[in-house]
Amino acid sequence: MLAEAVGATGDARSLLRAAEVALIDERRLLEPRELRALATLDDEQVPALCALAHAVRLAWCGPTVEVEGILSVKTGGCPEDCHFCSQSARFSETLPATPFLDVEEVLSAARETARTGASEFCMVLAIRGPDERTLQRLISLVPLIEAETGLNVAISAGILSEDQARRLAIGGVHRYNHNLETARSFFPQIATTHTWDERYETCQLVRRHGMELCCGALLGMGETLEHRVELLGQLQSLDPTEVPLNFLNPRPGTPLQVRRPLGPLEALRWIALFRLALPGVILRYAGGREVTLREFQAMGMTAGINALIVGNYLTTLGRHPDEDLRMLEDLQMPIGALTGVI
Amino acid sequence: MSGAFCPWCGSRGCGACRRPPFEVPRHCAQCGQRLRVTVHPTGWEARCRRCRTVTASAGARETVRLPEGG
Repeated sequence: MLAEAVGATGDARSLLRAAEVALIDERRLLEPRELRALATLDDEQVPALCALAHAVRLAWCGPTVEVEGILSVKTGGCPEDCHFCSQSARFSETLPATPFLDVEEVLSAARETARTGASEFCMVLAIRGPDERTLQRLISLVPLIEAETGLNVAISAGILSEDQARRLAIGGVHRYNHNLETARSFFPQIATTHTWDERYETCQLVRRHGMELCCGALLGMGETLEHRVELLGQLQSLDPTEVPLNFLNPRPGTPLQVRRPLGPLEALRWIALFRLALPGVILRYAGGREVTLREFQAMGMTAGINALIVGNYLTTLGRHPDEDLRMLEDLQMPIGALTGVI
Repeated sequence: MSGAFCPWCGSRGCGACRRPPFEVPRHCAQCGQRLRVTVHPTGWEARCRRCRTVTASAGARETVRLPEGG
């Protein structure tokens, strides 16, 4: 039905109705051709697209919203050259390196996170991948954080080997974050010190060893609509538990510093499309949402988002957690862990 | 956070920079040195290794100056 609607160009209502049937009645994933047609709807149709994405989210995931806090436990000095990142050591004017935080600093941040009502706490490191000392430090922190706060512990420490993935899983890491960031065909314009395939392989390792996979995207780096549709297909093939959706907040000193943030309407369109492409994932509001969506934060929550990072990000500030918690209360969206629910 | 150097661009006597939203200071207001900044879920702190001072968030994004180690 959707394929026929796609063929009959220009009929927005038919397209949206056909997508609704596919996702809610037939419970099947949309194909790239179908996503491309929805992505090219006129701006006037974005609210209808968002409404469909919200209905799909409720049908597949329910009303619960998952809250998470993140902490950069090792900042700056990264040997990689991801063009969006202020933590690379390869660019001028990027952040000075800071050493691995001590145990009490990490536990203090975890306690702050727990006080927001969060269920997840993610430790993030600006590294290519963990060395033995770093891996041991991370594994030793996991039970301490769990015992102190009751939070699920996630880690983002770059590219993993098979043995490292196995040890993190055994060590109790609940979810491992490793973003694809962008489509395979666009990635060489974003990083040259590692490949998209290396990222994809780490994502597969995470799943193979039984950790939940958190694999996100960064929109607004100059990628085209075709690149975004390609990325959605690639994320479908990985079948992650969580997809954090970041919007580029151009960082001084990085190659992408001259780019402008996405407009709010475009951001909402792509939040909705991510939900329609990935109906069962935990789709999380992540970095850049404040500067991109500005006063439209609540609209994203009714366009497919069902999770948030609250408080600050790795090197920049977010809005106060109380603002987000009030937003969820006003929307009558309950807070809880989505692990094992979807 | 008044001082001789701009905490955002690091230049001496800069009167042009306004505090960008959602950013933490990057330069020491006293000496212009790049700060080592730690951002945590509900706050931040910035250390100047030259002046041996720590600047930290307090409450609703106000800043206070603390003695080193404070």
